[in-house]
Amino acid sequence: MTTAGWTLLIISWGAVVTLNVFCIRKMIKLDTQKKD
Amino acid sequence: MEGRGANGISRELWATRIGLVLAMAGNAVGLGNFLRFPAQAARFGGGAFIIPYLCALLLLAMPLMWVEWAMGRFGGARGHGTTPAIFSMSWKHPIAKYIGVLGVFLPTTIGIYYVYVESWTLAYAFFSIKGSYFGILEHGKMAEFFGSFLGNGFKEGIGLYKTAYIFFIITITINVMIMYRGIARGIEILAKVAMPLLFLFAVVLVVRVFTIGTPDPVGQPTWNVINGLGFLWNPDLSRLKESKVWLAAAGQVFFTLSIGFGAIQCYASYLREKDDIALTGLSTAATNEFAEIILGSCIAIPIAFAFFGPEMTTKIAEGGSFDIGFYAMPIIFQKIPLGQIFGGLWFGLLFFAGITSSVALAQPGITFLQDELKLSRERAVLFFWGFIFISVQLVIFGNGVIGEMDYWAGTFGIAFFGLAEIIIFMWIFGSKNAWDEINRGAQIKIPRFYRYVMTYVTPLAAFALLATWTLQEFWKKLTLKDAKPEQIKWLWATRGLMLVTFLILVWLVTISERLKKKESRQ
Repeated sequence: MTTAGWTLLIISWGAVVTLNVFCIRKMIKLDTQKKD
Repeated sequence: MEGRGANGISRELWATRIGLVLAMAGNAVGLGNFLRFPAQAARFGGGAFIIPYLCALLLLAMPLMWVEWAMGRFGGARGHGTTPAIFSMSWKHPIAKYIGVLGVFLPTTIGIYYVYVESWTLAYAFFSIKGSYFGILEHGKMAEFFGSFLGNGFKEGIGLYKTAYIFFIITITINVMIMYRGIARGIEILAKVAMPLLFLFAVVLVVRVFTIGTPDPVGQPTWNVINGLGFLWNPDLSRLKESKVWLAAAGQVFFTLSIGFGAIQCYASYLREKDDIALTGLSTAATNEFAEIILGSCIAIPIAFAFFGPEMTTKIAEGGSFDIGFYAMPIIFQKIPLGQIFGGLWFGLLFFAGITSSVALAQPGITFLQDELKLSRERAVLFFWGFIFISVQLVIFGNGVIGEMDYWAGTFGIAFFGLAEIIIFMWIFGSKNAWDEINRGAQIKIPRFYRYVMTYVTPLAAFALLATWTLQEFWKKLTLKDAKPEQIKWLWATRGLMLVTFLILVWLVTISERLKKKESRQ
């Protein structure tokens, strides 16, 4: 695995994980506010 | 669960947001996430493929996905969940409803062969646990095993099809039972059970793949999982100059988010009029990308590399999805401890990915019968699946049928429909109306530049995709230039079936028009 390969993998996976965390946190926050 | 739309129309609704996200993600996460994506990436430049892939995701697939969600919610609030009615509400022209017929025709046609392929995964899960293919260690012999499972030609008689046919009956029965229960009690519950299991199975398999290390440290010390990951991710940036790499990436994002199928509109029609679609749609795409970019790239290709090395893995990737899924992986499972269980998990995962997509492909047809012809859900389910059951016989007993349907409906059809829907929504319905519709009830702010992307960039990208696919394949396919002589009669029969399906839908649309006129007079 080359450095360029690792770089692309880390950027792509990082972006996907960040997007998922953002969506989950936002939905939980909004749904909790709604219930209150 | 029911609710009321814009005109006080009573309509079934999703019970929970998590159920909706999982059902929509289930629609998107299919066999392609675990089989097609890694094969495409390996063939088209490794890590370099991810660059056009992400561009296409941001500029083509995400805008189209939000457009489809908005169209669906707009239609559902007015009592219509399929595109014949949604298009004619967005564009007051008689032809709109006939273009909209594609939004029922395409998922139905794709559903015809998809449900059969899905039944193979169930059969192979069973074969894995039972150890039916254990002892077959050659790629060619495994292909023969697969061929004999599928019958290997009509003239050899129905007896050979028995196992495949039994699993097809089981699969179609499960689909009918789920859909008979409706949206919240059927599809939503399926998604809440199947999607977590799918992710659990995938994570277990990823852990297993990464603990394999180097299977033959003395003979082949470089054949290991990390180098397998490198095989998939090391970029060949020179490939970015090739237009076919960009096209393959655009095609992959189209397939992976199930864009242009008419299925997203249908699921979104079961939302309330003021429910958010911006964040929910984004969450669905995020879940799908997690399954594709992370889990999809960690299983099949890295493990194939570790056991078969670079040359054979290249051949397997070029062989496509079925080669990886049904030939290479079963050989690998025989070489690892507890292979029967891991094989069961792999094909179980593919079955869950398949069934959550097949119910989504079937729903537009069922919703069309309910909304436009006023059939009860139970009758609509039975009529629809009865039609699918009859049609699948051609796929089972014919030769080359899957490829023919997959080109006209699953490739050319979805690209054409994707282009049609973005033009109708952004240009005819109007970009301001469309933008307002997308942002109604939005819980996140979609960047404003997306309005311009949706209006100009996405239609151009969709047009480029359609035009290139047409130039590359259309005439060759239409004139059956590459068809084998023994396949020709089956390919014509497939075209006949597709034409009849389309004409039946056009006829049903005219009947629904008459029904509407009759209702409005009363």
